[in-house]
This record gives sequence, C-alpha cells and structure tokens, in this order.
Amino acid sequence: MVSTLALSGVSKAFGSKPVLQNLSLEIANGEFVAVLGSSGSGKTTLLRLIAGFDDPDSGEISISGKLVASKNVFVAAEARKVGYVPQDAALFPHLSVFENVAFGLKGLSKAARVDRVRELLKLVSMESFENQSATELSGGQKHRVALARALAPEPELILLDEPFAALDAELRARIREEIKLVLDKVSSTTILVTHDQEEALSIADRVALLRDGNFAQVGNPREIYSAPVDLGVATFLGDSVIVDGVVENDKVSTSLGQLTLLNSAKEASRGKVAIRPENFYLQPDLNGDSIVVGRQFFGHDAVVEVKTPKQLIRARSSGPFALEVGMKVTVWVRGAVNFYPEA
Amino acid sequence: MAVLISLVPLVYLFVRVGSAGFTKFADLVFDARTLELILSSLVLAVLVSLSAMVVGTIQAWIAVRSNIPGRKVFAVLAALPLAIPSYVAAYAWIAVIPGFSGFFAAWLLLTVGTAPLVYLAVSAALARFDSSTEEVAASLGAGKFAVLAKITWPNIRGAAVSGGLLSALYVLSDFGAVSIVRYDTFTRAIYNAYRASFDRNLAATLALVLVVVTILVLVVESRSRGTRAIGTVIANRLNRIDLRGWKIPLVALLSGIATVSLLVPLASLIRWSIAGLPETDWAQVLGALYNSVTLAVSGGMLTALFAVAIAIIVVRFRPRFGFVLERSVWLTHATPGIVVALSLTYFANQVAPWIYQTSFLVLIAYLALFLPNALSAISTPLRQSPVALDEVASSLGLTKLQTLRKVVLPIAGPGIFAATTLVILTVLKELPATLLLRPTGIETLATRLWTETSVASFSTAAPYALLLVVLAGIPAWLLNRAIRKDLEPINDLERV
Repeated sequence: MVSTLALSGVSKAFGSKPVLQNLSLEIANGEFVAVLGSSGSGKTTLLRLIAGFDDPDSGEISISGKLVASKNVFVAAEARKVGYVPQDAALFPHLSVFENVAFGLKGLSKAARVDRVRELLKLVSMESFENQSATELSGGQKHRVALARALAPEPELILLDEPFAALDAELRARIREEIKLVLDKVSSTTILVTHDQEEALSIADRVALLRDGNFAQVGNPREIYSAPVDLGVATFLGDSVIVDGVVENDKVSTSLGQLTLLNSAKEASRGKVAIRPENFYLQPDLNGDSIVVGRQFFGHDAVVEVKTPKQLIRARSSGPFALEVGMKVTVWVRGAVNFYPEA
Repeated sequence: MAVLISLVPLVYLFVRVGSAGFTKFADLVFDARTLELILSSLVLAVLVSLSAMVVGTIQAWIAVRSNIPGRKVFAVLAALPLAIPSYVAAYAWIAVIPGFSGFFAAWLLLTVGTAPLVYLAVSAALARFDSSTEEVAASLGAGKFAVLAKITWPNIRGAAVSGGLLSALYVLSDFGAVSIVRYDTFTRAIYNAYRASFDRNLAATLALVLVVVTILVLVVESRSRGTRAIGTVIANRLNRIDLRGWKIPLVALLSGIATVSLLVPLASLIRWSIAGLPETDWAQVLGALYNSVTLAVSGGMLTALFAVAIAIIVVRFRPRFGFVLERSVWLTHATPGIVVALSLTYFANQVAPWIYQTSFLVLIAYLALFLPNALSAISTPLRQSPVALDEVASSLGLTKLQTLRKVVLPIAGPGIFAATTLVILTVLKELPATLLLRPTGIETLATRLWTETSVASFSTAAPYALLLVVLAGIPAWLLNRAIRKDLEPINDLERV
C-alpha cells in the first residue's frame, strides 16, 4: 500500500543554520502522527515543507505516491490537497463562518455546496453559527471552524500546527478530544505538531520526536514513553530520576538496589538509569534508610521528595495516600528500567 | 476659546454668504463657470485618489510582503515624498520642463505626492494582517492571484480607501501645486477671484461650496474608517512572498515612481540652486528665512499650547463634552487653507480692522489650520501615561493639578516637545494662508518661492525651495516617522 506521506532525506537550512537534516518518515493512510519537539526543533518548518509553503533544500516528499517536492519538482501548496490548521486558527476575518468553510470547495453546484458546508459544520457542532462573522467566535469555536474548513475539500492529509497552544488548559483538553473524534470519524490522515508531551502521547497513533532537526525516536506512545532511546529523550518526555549504575549478572546495580533491565547491555558496563517518578514504590518503614523531606500536592496525585543515603528522588504517589514529611521509608523500583551506557 | 477661534472662519463664511442672499448664492453656484470648477476639481480629486491608491497599495504590498531586493530602501523612498511640499515639487518640475502644466501635470504631481498617505495606511494594515490566512487559502487550493484577490485585498481595502480619501482631501485643499501648474480648481479660482476683482461674494461662495464638498469627503472617510477594524487580528509572523520572475519589472516600476516623485524634483532643485548661486540675493534669502522661522515658531508654539490644553482636558479629565470638543476641532480640518485665509480677511475687515495687515492674523490662521494636527500629535504622548499612575498619585495625596505637573507632564514631556516641533515645521511649509494674510512687505520662504515661480525666474526661486525641503520637509518627515513608529510594519521576524 502506498503511504499517504513519504519523506525521504529531507533537509532544510535557513541561511547557514541547518533546521532539518536528512529526515525520513512514512505515514500510512488514516494514521495520526504527532511530531513532538521543543521550540526551535524545526517542527513548524517540517510542516511548512509538507504543506508546500517552503521547498526543501534536498530530499523528496511524496503525498499518496505523487512526488510533490524534490530536486526538480515543486508542486505549489494550492495543488497539494493538504489541509492546514494553523496555531491561531487564522479564519478569514472578512468572511462568515459559512464562507470560511466553503472557501476551498470547487466545482460543486450551489445546493451541493450548501449541503457540504452544513454537513461539516454539523460534524464540528457549529451548525448554528453559519452566519456569524469569523471574528465573533471564541477560541475553541474558531478551531472547530478551522478544522471544518480544512476538511471541506477532502484533503489527502491534515496538518495541525500546535492548534491548541493558545487555548487555556481546560478548554485545550476538551477541544483536543473533540477534534480527535472528528478526525477519527472521517478517518483522516493527520500530522499534529506540538511541544506538549502529554498532548502528543495522548492523541497520536505514533509519535515522532524531533530534536535538533533529526527524528530522535519514532514509535507508538507507549514504547516511546517506556523505552526512550537515550537519556535526553527520557527526560524530555517526562520527569525522570537519573541514577548511576553498573551492569552485573543481567541486572543493573544502583544505589536503589538491583534493577531489572529492559534493554540489553554489556556485562560490567557503567552508565545511567532513568526511572519515572511513578515507578517508585515508597514503603513506610521505621527502619528505612530514606526519609520523606517534601511533598507537593496536586489533588489527584502528589510528588513526594525522598532523601536516600545517596541522593534526592522525586516519586509520584496517589494524592490522598501520599506520605507525610518526616516519615522513614524504604524505596523500591517497580518494573524494569532502561540503561544508557556511558559514551 | 481655541475651538471658537478655529470655528470662526466657518461661521463667518456662512454669515457672509447668507447676507448676500440666497438667490445671489444660487446664481453663483449654478453659474457655468462654477459648475466647471466643481467638475474639474472633482475629476482631479477622484483620479488622483484612484491612482494614489493603486501606487500606494502596490508600494506597500511590495515593501511589506515581498522578497524584492532593496525592500527597506524602497520602503523609505515610498514615504519620502511627504518631505517635499507639493508646491515645491511643482516648482521643481516646471523648472525642468517649462511647459509642464495643465491637468496631466497636476494629476502626476499630486498622485506621487499623496501616494505616501495610502502607502502608510496600507503598510500598517498589512503589518497587522495575519498572513497565515494566506497560507490556509493556498492549502485550500487558491492560487497566488486568487489569494491576493480573495484574502489579502479584502483585508487591506479599508486602509486603501481611507488613504485614498485622505489623498482626495489633500487635492481639494491643495493650492500651491495646482496654481503653479496652472490647472483651475476651486482653490486657485478662489484666490484669483479674491485677487483680481476683490469680488468677495464670488470668492466666498466658491469657498463655501468647497467646504461642503470637503466635508462630504471627510464624512465618507470617517465612515470608511469605522468599518475598517475587522476584529482583532494579532500581528503574526509575516511570510514574504517570492516574486520570482516579477522581481525585475517591479523593481523597475518602483524605481520609476521614485524617479518621478523624488529624483527629478531633487535633481532640479540642486541644479537650479547651483545655477542660481552666483546671483542669489543673500540678504533677501536670510530675511525670508528669518520671517519664516519667526512666524512658524510663534504660530507653532501658540497652536501647541492650545492643543496641550485641549488634549489634557479631553484625555486626562474625560469631560462629557470632550467628544464634542474634539469633533468640532476636526470639523475645521475640512477647511482648506485658502478658505480659512479668505474668511479671516473678511472677519478682520469687518469685525476687527485693527488686526488686519498684522502678523497676528497670520498666527490665528495657523491656529485654525493646524490645531487638529497638533491635537492628534499631542494626544498620543498624553495617553501614554497610564491612568493607573494618576490613581496611585492621588492615593499618595496629590491633587489633580499636582498629578498633572509631577506625573503626567514629565512622562509626556518629550512626546509633547516632539509634537510641537512637528507643528512648527508644518507651519513653516504653509503657503496659501501666509500668502493672503501676511502684512505687506513680509516675505517668507514659501511666499518668495511662489512669487519667483510665478514670474518664471527659476534660479532665483531655487534657494527658497531647497531651504524649504531641507529645513522643513525632511525634519518634519523624520519626526512624523518617529512619532508614528508603532505603526511601522513589523519586519523580519525570524522563523524556524
């Protein structure tokens, strides 16, 4: 089967500053891929290359088997059939909601056009707003209209450029859900660009982690979270406690005990282990060698700071049952850990 | 009081025409000659504003949105004609081509002279415009020209129209340029009617018709302004559009415009200055310079003083009648200089003869003419000191006047100083009112230039023209830029 999007060896530099280096990625039809990266990692540039707003310095981009950008080919944005939802929704301010959604519809009879727009507005639950001016909508409503507008011409691919960044936390989670539902319903192939780990991990089928212009890791959210390829990815994806360790008898020996290895490592090699805060188990123990020194309460859960003989660790525990400051504990690590040998 | 002074001319004009009787008025208005003048003025105003809209919009789009080489240079060149008073440009052209006159000459001069008004309005609108909407439109299948027509243009149309109407207002009130190129419009006819026959009724009637036409344009302009604000589009990063094959023709076009608007006038000024240097009567030049500076400084200071007072009342104390106050001052903005001058001569003759033929009358004219400009320039710095500071000051026990003295004025001081300087420089360039009202024997740079040009002694006129551009035009342009700095397009945001 032909991939909906294929990047091969794509590079782009602005002046002497390389932004993307030799990127390759294939996205299957109907797949939802999140490109995750911190600001300046090149993720917006990547999106712009796919959309056709910029052309790559080298490499090839194909959409549904058709070459759209290479050394000799450049298909303009208007001929690519790629839907685009920018960060601020960018509704056309001089047009109504209806006219915004209808903008990309071509070659339809008037009645068919009206039907199509109404159908899309219904899909995003905005059917009662069709005559409103685009500027009168709230942030979440704008995004829903922008999505309907992008879906209208039935594009091969939808690009979402940090579409929720401008919304406040609560609205953000809700709109994210809604948009995911809509995209699933029309089985759209989607690329979401974001700097928010939680967003990428919760919404996507696959996450591509972009770092310094390269994909540091591509995989499904579970594996990328539980098996980061290196310490940098591990810490970027979420809080981690880093502990020194040595490999002995297929286990890694650390100040927190003998831990089971998730990946394979050479016997006797030294390196570091990354442990997620939720993988700690704190057992209250009057004779324990560790002591709780701090506690941050978040409601549903809490982060407990524990001083072990060797270092300070942060462990996540369920909010109502979090330990009190001053309690003595023994620290256990649940599950297997990833070992990163020293270079 | 200040407002009264600025309204006196208008009121007096009505009284004057009214006393002559309505039938007389109607006869004069519907006279074939008057109708011809109305037509020729309107045709010129309409055509100039249309061409200025085209030129200014193209310049703004290229400067703000394209990747043309030398973009920043062209951006400066597009606004720079504002530094050359239109009658100086007219002189410079006629000194190059002696036969440069009539409709085409007036149209060309005023088009390049007022295109910067459109340019500034449109480039500000383009800088506010969220260009990611253009990318969205492209991703929805709209080609380059479809994007321009359906997305970009609707969003800058308001600014372009508003700039075009300002251009039309300028044309209607322009006196110097049309007179020098001998194209008959209202202003020129009013002057000639006044000078030739002292036929006050004809001049007054023409003036009144001109005021009515101008007010109509002003009303349309303020309406178009009202509808311009389309939501609150946050200025986003600007994506420059690659012109590819269009680069060379567009560079040629922009260079051509700059040649007409700047290169030819400046070259001509310099050439005639050099040619006229040996025979320049320096005593006369210095005398004119002295008179110009004296009149401008006293007129500018007087105007600024009144403007500060009004602005403080309107901006800081927010009285209920503040709106009316501000609006009534703006009404006089519709009055061309020649009309203000004319009505003041009647006023002086009939009500206050002791004032006639004194510099004081000139100063009153300046006050009436430039109070609106001064008010808007001075309100800006006064608004910049946040009201929260006033509240803090009063919570610390300061009275309103003490707050004004110790908080507001120190903060707004530099801005007020800059605005006052701007008014002085603007006054320095004023021609029609000075020409009509100056006491006999008092010559300024502007009136000297006028006199010498009308007898075609171009080399004698050259030093005055050059001084006007160097002393008044360029500093006024620079200051104006500094004052409206926040309107400058946001350029070159790095994108990754």
